[in-house]
Amino acid sequence: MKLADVFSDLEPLEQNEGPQPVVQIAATPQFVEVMGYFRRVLVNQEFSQRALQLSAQAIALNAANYTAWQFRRRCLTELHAASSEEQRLAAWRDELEFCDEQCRNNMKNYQVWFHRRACVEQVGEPQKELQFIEEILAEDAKNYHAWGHRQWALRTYSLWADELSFVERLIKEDLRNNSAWNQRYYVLQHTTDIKSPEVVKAEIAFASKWIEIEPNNDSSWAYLKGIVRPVGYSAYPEVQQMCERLAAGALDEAAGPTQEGDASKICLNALSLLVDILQAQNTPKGTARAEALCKQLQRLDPIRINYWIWRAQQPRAMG
Amino acid sequence: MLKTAATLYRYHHRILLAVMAAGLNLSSHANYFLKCLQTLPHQYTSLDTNRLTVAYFCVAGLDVLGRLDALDAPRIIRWVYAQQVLPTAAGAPGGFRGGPFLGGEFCGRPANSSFDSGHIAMTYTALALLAMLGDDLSAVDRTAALALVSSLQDSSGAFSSTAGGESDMRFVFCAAAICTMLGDPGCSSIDVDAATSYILASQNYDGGIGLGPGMESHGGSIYTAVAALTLLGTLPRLPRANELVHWCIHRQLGGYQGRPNKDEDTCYSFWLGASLELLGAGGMSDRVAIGDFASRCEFKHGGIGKCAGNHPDVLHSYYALCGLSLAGWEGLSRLDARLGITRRASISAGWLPMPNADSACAECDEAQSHAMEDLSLRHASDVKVALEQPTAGYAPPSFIESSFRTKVEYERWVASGRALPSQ
Ligand SMILES: [Zn+2]
Repeated sequence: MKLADVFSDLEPLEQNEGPQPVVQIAATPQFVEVMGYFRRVLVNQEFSQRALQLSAQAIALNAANYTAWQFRRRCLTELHAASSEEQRLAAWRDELEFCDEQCRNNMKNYQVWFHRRACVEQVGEPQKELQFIEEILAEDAKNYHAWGHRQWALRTYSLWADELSFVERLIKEDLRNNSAWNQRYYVLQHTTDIKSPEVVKAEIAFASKWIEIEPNNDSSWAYLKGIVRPVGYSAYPEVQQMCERLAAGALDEAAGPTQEGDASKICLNALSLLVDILQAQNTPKGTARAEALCKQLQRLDPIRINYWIWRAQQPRAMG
Repeated sequence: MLKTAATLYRYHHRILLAVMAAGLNLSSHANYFLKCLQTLPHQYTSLDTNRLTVAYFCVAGLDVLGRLDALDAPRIIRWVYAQQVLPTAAGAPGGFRGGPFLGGEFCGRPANSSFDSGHIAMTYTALALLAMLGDDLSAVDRTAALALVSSLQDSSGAFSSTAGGESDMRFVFCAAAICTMLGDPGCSSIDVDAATSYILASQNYDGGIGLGPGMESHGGSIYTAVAALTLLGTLPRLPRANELVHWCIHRQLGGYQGRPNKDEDTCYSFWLGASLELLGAGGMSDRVAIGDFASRCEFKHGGIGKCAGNHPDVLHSYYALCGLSLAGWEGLSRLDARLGITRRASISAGWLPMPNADSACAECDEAQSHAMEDLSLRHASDVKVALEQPTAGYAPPSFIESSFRTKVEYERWVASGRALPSQ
């Protein structure tokens, strides 16, 4: 059925561009028609099935139309104000299904993910969310919205049980997936005492395992540092030992100039954490050695030369 | 070899920059912004509800290029004011909508339904646009706009986009920016402590900041967080600022990446460059590498993409230029990193104090010329473009026209953004 027939009782409401439009978008006739009726429906506050369908068309043409999403939530609420609980649930389940498709088509759209949250709150079956997010992450493992939604579902409905193994699997698939590393910290933060010696020990072992496999990975190093720094490096000498060992390539050549070709083999992350550890010792010896390492980093990490000059001058910067 | 390069870089970066700057085709970018300000093809309908933002990027881009003279400012000012939501009653929220997509007459007008309301990000971009174009904001309903901002703060301290919309760090920044722009520099219209707590709670184990508590550190959320703290006056409360500097500076690969282990993207030279500047570490970036990356993302017919080979868009074009300006490139206006606009615009709007040209700068002998630069637009002689005038005439709807005796009176009213005079 044509839109004009469905809404034969309504006069489309035109968009008024004024005398000299700015950033005018060359809209298709279809866009103009759908938006014309949609504007009228909004002004009339019409909460009907046909209006709900119309808003889906508006969303298909522009998923960032925040008003259309807002209208859908209101429309469903109004439509089912007097419905049975069963009918109401069925309607929101349909809406969640509509959302599935929209999330897949517009993975980086804020509105659709926010709308999904509202649907889950109405339906109250959060378990399905973890499965759904897993599918999204299979396509885009670092999707910021999907991770945000997952965290919301986990904390709102306490679904922590299998999350750590899920995260570990993702790290195995891609050890550079920083979102997964962040999620690991998030889970532990909510389910354990992250400063307890047992957790710290276990996480040092976990991070070290992945660092040994790939020493040049900002994600695993940042995780290691994030775990140990709050409790103090001195209580966990194995961290410094690993740094010394992995930085050895750079330390060996301290006497002579580095061959340019070797620069990529040197573990800058190990040197960098070593600077933190030595400066945190707050001893003349530690500070002096950290300063020497900063000088070396000025040469080995020339894009950050100004940063390493500053770090050498500020031995308490990370204190 | 490395040592030589580093030494050369340290002592002669100014010379290198001058050479590099000549490589970027600035006039083609001015043309690109002017073109987008006119009409976008139908593939851009996803921007229909955010047209104010598109206008903001274009005008701000021209301001950074020193080419605002190419614009018909009153025309854009009038269009911006037409998006103002006037309050329906005293104390009711106002602000701006993202464009005329909800219909209704072309003028600042009250909401035509409960779905027609101000949007916090559109309100920020509207105020920025007006200031850049030299408007004095006298037709902004300040009370109503601030009422919108305070109505959008939730119990977590964060802000929503609109009533019933999503809330996160982006809108905390918008709230702080709007308060500053509307002459509420202490942000007394909002709960500063709650907003600050939300930001601090979003700092992660790695020193970075996410879009909300627990969320992965991200260059964009870091900028909105740091700029918000600066505007709220609570940046000194950030506990691990140096770790944040470490996080930010380590995102530079050449250009900046937005998260660890992601690809470089031109917009992060602004998000992270501005964050570093606000954290007092503005000089730490490798300026030459930023220039190199931007020039690789430049499109030959104007505009800059997010990475090499990508189509240009107004957001990346503007932020790439901002990144170059922050990195100290010649030929671009200097930025007010807090508000995402030029220092010139901020100073003329009274959001930054007038620079004191007499005070000698210890590190540079160019204090005087910098001060002048802030206050004047530079006119690159090689850029000659004028906005085309639309051919179609416009007649105001008759019911509006009848309220005015002359066209001038009507236009003055449109520009004022006030409600229709009572008949
Ligand atoms: Zn980008």
